[in-house]
Amino acid sequence: MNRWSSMLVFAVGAVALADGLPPDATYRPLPTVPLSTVIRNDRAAKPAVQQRQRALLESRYDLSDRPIPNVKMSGGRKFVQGGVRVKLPAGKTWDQLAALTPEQIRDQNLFPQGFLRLPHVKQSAGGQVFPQQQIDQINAQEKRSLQRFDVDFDLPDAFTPEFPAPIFLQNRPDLGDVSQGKLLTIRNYYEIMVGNITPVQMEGLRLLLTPFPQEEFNQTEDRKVVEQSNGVACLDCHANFHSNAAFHLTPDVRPQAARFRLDTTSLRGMFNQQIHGSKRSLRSVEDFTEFEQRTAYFNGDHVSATRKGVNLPDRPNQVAMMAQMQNMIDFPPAPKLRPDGTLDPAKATPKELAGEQVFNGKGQCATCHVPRNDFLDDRMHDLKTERFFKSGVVVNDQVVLPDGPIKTFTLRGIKDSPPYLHDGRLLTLADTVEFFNLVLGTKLSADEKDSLVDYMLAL
Amino acid sequence: MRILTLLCGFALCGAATAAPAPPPDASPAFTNPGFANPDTPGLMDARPAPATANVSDIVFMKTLAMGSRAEVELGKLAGSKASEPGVKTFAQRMVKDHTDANTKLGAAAGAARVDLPKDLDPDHAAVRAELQKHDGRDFDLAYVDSQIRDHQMAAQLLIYEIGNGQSADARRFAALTLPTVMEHLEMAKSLHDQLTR
Repeated sequence: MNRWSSMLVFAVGAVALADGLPPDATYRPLPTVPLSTVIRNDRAAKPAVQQRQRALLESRYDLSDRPIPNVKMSGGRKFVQGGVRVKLPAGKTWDQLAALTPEQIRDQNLFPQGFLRLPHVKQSAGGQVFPQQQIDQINAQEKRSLQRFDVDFDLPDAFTPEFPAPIFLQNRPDLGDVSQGKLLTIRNYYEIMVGNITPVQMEGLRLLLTPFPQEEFNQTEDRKVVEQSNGVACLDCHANFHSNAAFHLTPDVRPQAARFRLDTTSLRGMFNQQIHGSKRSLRSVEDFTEFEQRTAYFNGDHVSATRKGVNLPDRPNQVAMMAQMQNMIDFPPAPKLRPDGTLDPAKATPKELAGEQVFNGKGQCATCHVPRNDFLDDRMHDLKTERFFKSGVVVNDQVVLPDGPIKTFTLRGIKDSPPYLHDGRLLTLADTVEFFNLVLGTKLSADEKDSLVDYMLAL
Repeated sequence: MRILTLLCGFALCGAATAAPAPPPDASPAFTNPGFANPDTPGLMDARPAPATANVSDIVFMKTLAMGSRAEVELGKLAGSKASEPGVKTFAQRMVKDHTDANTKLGAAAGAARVDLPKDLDPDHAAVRAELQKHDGRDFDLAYVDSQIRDHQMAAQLLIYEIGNGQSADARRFAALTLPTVMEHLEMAKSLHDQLTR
């Protein structure tokens, strides 16, 4: 009987829906409109695009500039923002929400909107968007424009990493920050790094700073920069091997409205990072470096990449050198941490130590963020946040959908890396505590939450 | 001001409790003009007419119309043939929801001057013919599986339209319809699990 059932299902399935979805649900189509007309239309729409995104951010978050007193990022160039910034549904407290079941939160539409996916500033176009400081620096040093005509960067400056970020080398931990307070570019990298790194690493660095054609920055008519562009460099987003909060859409999902936003990942601690990519779980930084020319650069569309002039680095030479350079980048110092990733009781405050207890116990954080493993577990996990919301709602042209498994990110130097989560939907560490308290159902007290934030600031 | 900012640091302002404003209009608003219909009135002046359809809109409306029309036909069949009460209820819901959706899709297509197919397409006619041969739980499972495939297709088509379409009416229809289609898909998957447990 079972065998008959499965044969029947096969027979019905075999005749159904032979045509499939349209090809541009997967592939990037060729443009149909002349570039000058595209520029005119994109520019005309831009103020409304930015205003809509600003309205969304203000409806979800408290965007005020409220730094934590005396707490700066590792380079000392920027204060770390404090407080829970995600807004609560009307009339509710965090404790009231935490007392509800996921189904109650979903059915009463009580999941805080800031815990949902953060849309791209212009989801229908997507692509790489750079913060103004990066645009200005690259323009000043290289005369290369990273300024799109259709969109601007959307997050307030207070919620992005310090710029330029400090650079710590794991092969020379004695040196400290070697950035000289400058942004590494193809114009200055040699004089900044000569003597500090090997010839192979220097060549890797040169390649990581060399612009190559990209989906929105290239020489064809299908671009979002006014002049024909040489493209973008790896370190245009991973500025100084960290992140400048430049964002993108994941290359690993289609159709366009289903793609989630990606906040640039820091490259610090690459030497211990075992999986790479938002969905692809590539097993080495060599694999990732090689293939990013068709993913980060071209949205996982090798057809479009070929048309626009993709750079395919040579695996035994160029890729190996680029990977080696990335593997030299260390986390910022954490003077209160012992070699095994635990706090030194002689140096940590009682509140930080209390936070460590919560982290390892009731908060369940250490289940994935393993302290002795640089707060990584080299796994992807599905938090199943869709238990808390209804799928299929459209927000700023993006569809609210389950995200599926996402890799565990390190928490070393985490105060340097706002915004948080893979798409940057959380602006502060206090937001991450409320998010995981709700999603994991850990029911932490206010004191426990506070101590967790203090603990993470010490990492 | 600086003191206020500092005082209002993490500990004192730990909870942002203001009620969130409702999200801005959920209708898809902005398209990528590179993929517009080049004949769109007003495009050269950066004031494109909202009702103009591009190729994606047309393919979307025609393909969705075929599937949604079939949902009604197959739902009627399953409403009479299904043996499990849950499957029967689901089938009745399909007839109701998709009849409603077809009316709205017809309006969006009319505004964009797109002709929708009127007859059951050959693929779905074959599915119906195959389903008619079977009864009981075999019918239920085969029907539910056809619904999973159809609703996967519908959900992806709607998401496709939201991202790739140009017509304001068609995109608004897609955004308003998608949550219901995703609910249908969840129901069908859940019925499948019950029937195969």
